[in-house]
Amino acid sequence: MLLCGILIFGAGCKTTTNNQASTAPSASFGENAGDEAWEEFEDEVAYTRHYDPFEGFNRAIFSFNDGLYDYVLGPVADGYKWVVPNGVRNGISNFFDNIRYPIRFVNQILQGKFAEGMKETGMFLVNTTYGVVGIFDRADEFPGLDVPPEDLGQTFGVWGIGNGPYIVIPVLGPSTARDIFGRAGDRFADPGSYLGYWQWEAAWSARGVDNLNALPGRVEVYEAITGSALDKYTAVKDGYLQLRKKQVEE
Amino acid sequence: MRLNKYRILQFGSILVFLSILFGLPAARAEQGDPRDMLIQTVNEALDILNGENYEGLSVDEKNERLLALVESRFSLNILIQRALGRNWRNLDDEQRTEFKQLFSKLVVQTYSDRLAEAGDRPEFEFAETIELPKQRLEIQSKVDYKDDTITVFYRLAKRDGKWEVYDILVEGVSLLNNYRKQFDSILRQGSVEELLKTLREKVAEF
Repeated sequence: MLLCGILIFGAGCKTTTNNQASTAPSASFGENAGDEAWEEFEDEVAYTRHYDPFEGFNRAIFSFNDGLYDYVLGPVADGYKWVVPNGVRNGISNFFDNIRYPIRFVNQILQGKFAEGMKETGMFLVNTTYGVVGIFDRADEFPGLDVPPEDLGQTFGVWGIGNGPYIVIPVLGPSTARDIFGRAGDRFADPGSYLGYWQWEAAWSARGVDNLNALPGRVEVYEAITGSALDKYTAVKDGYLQLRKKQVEE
Repeated sequence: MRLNKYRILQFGSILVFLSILFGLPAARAEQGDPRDMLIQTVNEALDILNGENYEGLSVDEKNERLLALVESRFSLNILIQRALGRNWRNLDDEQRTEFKQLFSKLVVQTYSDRLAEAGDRPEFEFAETIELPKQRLEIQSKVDYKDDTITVFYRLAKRDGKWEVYDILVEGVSLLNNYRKQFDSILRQGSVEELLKTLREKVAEF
């Protein structure tokens, strides 16, 4: 039994656990029968690795951000939701999503996803014209053109570059070394950054509107993840890393 | 499609009737396609949360019924044990029993809290069932949640004649893995007793 503890995946142990399970009374609640059965499922755990050498520092920034959500961003998001109707908020968010089309397209090409790049272009054209400069998202009517969005962090992942250390950014929240570089690189494909060259006021107000409008959604996701968490920091870290892993894979 | 499902349900209800008639208690857990069973469970859960028949119940009472409903059809044993992983060995019998009760409560509360928050009865759409190795299944569904469509995948395996829900993936994020990392982190810094205390407080929060 002790040996079994050491060799979790040992073939000899597997039979022991199986025998135990089959002779044990049915696994109903309240009894602790079949108690080591979880080991049979360990082959499923191919999940995220948490490389977090700056955990102490990250936790400090995380708790700052957490307070910011509670006392500033949450109330601001609620106020914004109260003033601006849902339909308008969706329109603004669709508009900014549509404008960021070059980021998605460039990364689809960098990942060799040429068919997806064509579909993304098609979606951009449909939303820009039929969707009235992107205010309406017509993806529902053209499900064939709806492809997963790509960014440079994902592209690095597809190229085989690992996450590197996990890093919590003030205000912005969870990221990794790889994704920070990705974010910086994506600026080159972001039309918003070029607007800044000749009209920086317009560029900054656009960015402000974009961020404010996206806030309620971000607060909601944050609350959904942390609301049922026992260790908020770890829950957000794992949620972020799992989500990015899935996005790189698809 | 609709007619087909109706006929399956009808057939199923005859089976249930027969098994009651002949007193085969095990047959209830044995019968039925897990996908149908899951769809039915989700529908009944939504009834409890939003249905007229349950309007007078408090949140606590609703959650109690939800847990009873889930446990009558599925087992969460593997999910609960896997959430602790290697640390499961460090719990004595009493602690295991308490952990099982608290954690299954927390999972059900989380789930019902989300659904209740979604406002009107959320639309679930069950898509395909994927067969995983070792006779495990992934039943895929989509939920219209607020303004978004969110994917929820249920992973099931049959053990001792009962279907185990051994993981739930929301937008590809494994609930199980998320909790395991949290428990790992808490147990690295503190004792099992402290973990149970954190759990007790969390469950009481809802």
